[in-house]
Amino acid sequence: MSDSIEALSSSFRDPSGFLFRYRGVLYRQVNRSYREDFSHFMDSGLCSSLVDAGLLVAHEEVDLPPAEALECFKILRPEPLPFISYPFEWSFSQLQDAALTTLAIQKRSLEHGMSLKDGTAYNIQFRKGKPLFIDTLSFERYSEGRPWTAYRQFCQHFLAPLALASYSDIRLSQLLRIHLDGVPLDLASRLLPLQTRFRFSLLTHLHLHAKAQTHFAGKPARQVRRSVSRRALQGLIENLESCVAALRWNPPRQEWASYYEDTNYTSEAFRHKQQLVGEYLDRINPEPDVVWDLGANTGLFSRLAASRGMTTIAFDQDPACVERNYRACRQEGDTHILPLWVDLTNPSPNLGWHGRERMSLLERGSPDAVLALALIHHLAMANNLPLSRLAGFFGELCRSLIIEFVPKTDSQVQRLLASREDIFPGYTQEAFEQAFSRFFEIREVSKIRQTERTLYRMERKPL
Amino acid sequence: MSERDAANALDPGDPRRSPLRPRPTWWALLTLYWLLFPPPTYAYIDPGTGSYILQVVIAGLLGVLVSLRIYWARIKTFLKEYSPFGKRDPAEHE
Repeated sequence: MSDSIEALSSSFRDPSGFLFRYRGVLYRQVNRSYREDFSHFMDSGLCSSLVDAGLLVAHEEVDLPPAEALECFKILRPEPLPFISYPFEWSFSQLQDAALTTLAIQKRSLEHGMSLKDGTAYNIQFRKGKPLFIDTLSFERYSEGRPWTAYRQFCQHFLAPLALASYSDIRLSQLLRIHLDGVPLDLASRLLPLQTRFRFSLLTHLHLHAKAQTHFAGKPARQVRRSVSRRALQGLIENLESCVAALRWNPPRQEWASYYEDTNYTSEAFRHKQQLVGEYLDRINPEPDVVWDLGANTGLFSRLAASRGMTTIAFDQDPACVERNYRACRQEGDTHILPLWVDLTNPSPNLGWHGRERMSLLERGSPDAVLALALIHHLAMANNLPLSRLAGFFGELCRSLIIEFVPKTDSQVQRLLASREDIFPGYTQEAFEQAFSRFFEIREVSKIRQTERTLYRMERKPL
Repeated sequence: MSERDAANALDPGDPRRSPLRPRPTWWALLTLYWLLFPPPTYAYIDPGTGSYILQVVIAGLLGVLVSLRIYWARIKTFLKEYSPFGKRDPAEHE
């Protein structure tokens, strides 16, 4: 493990401090310039109040050689998080909950004489199924009259993508992947339908806000001298809160989200598959800590891993599935599943400055075990991926693999092939086993009752 | 003795009596000016001029609404307390 101090490539914007890794552990340096704000943050009781409410990541002060000695005021060790996800990977309700958490924190900060100085969605992560604010240095002392510095950022990172998803199309929230500082308001304003101009909060925070930005762009800054009273600020935060809470997106009942309802599985086949996956998970040795369920749909099989206490990330390319999964987890109080909206054929890339500000999906974690159930026929047929490439991908990704092979005779595959030429003569069970045997040892094979499908448990061969 | 006289009455050798020392009225004017036109504030995230100005206007409006809500709540409480019709009978709780 490296003894050197590595500053995180994403942590450079805020002069108050930065994150670094030392001997594999994540630390945060607080700079001298932030000393007074930080002291107020701790002494006013804001920090403990937010941590106790489960809104802010806990930290402890540690004695460690500073990363940048001249600047260093304190070194903190934040509580580690199991996985870092990004706003463009969240479902509608995840982004909405993250927005409401940010506003709840801002309200509480004002009560303690502080204010959030930035409103980026990247300051929120999901832990134990709930949004959590992770930037301990985002708080500044509030002085009466000062407007909310993070207002623009909040509108761009949360309100614009939520309104677009709600009123235009859920896929527009993917604009966050292109625009790392949130959806430009003039773009959001142009894409939103006319009806949003008749809602006071959307008219003001998005449409007029966009107009104001365009109008004042390039005008001298000395014009900006008006103040915002505390009560006005309170009114603004409360209005944003009710505006965000009122936005709705109901996942359409189509395609994947209702996959289980119209599939050709009998209930007996389904039960058997669940039983097999459960048994396979139990027999993985050593027991996996982190499981990725790829093509998780609404997370029925992810729950098998989660119920065993494994941190489970449930990826799906259909936002409706991810939304339903998240809502179900929230309702059931499931603390082990994190549903994420990711298309495996185009996973989140490296983004931002130097291509290192936001990490690609595969750089952010490595699962101990992967569930790939009813997945590879879609990758092979709909995305023309050869079996050898699929095997190579899984071989790189994980140590243990539970994977389902769906043959061409299966009605789901027939449906995939119905409207196209069958250019997959190599897609056979023998070829599948051969391709995966290059990287894995096949430990268990079971036919799923009343289907033509086969479930495998594999362990990666030593490299 | 007015404040001004008091200031003049100081010993000319007193270091507090400097020709540059602003008089209390000046302080009041300066404070008023500062309240009306606070100095521009800077943050490491640029709040954007347009966003800043829009926020001032919208927040001002919403602030008035918050005030109205608070006063309306007070009026309602007042009416409940003192109106013979609005007053609740303690027996209702039984």
